[in-house]
Amino acid sequence: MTNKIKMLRSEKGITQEELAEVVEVTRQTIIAIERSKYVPSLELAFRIARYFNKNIEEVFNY
Amino acid sequence: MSYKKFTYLRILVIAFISATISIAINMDNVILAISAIIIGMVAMFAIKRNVKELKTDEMIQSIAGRSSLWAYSICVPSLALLSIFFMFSNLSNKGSDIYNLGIILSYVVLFHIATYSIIFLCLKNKYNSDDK
Repeated sequence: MTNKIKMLRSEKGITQEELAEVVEVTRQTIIAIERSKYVPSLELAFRIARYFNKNIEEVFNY
Repeated sequence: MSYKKFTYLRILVIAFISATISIAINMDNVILAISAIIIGMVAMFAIKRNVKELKTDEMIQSIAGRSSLWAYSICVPSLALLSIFFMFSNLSNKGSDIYNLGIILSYVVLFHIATYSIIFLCLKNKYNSDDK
């Protein structure tokens, strides 16, 4: 499973820490998701997608 | 208080408790050891209350769950093998300490397996509950 979080984050100009705070996880989790080392739960995936105003499929690819 | 500062303070408290208990053991003073533990617990409680930063999330919980399963999978067979070894190596001397230790270990293993099975069944029933 891959994702575009890093790209979307740089487009929006926010840091990993800021994103982590908004979606209520630690920065380590954001780092792991960006590197595709951790697959987030459906709930977290939705929270991330909603933050970027995108559909879940636009952020995560399977 | 940030999580980094919390970790630093936690290490300090652990060092304080360890040092005080070591001194208490050397002085043969039980009250000092108990006091150190109580002071440590109070200090940890006070420190934890001041941490506003997020300490855990779903990834940490997922890792903790997997670690628990690994710990269970390693500890239970190891203890079971050890208990069998202790009992069978002292079959001729059934009242010995080693033989009794083997029996105690086997009960510990059974307790572990029973606890795991009960919790597993409870969680399985929780997720499979049919709301008609």
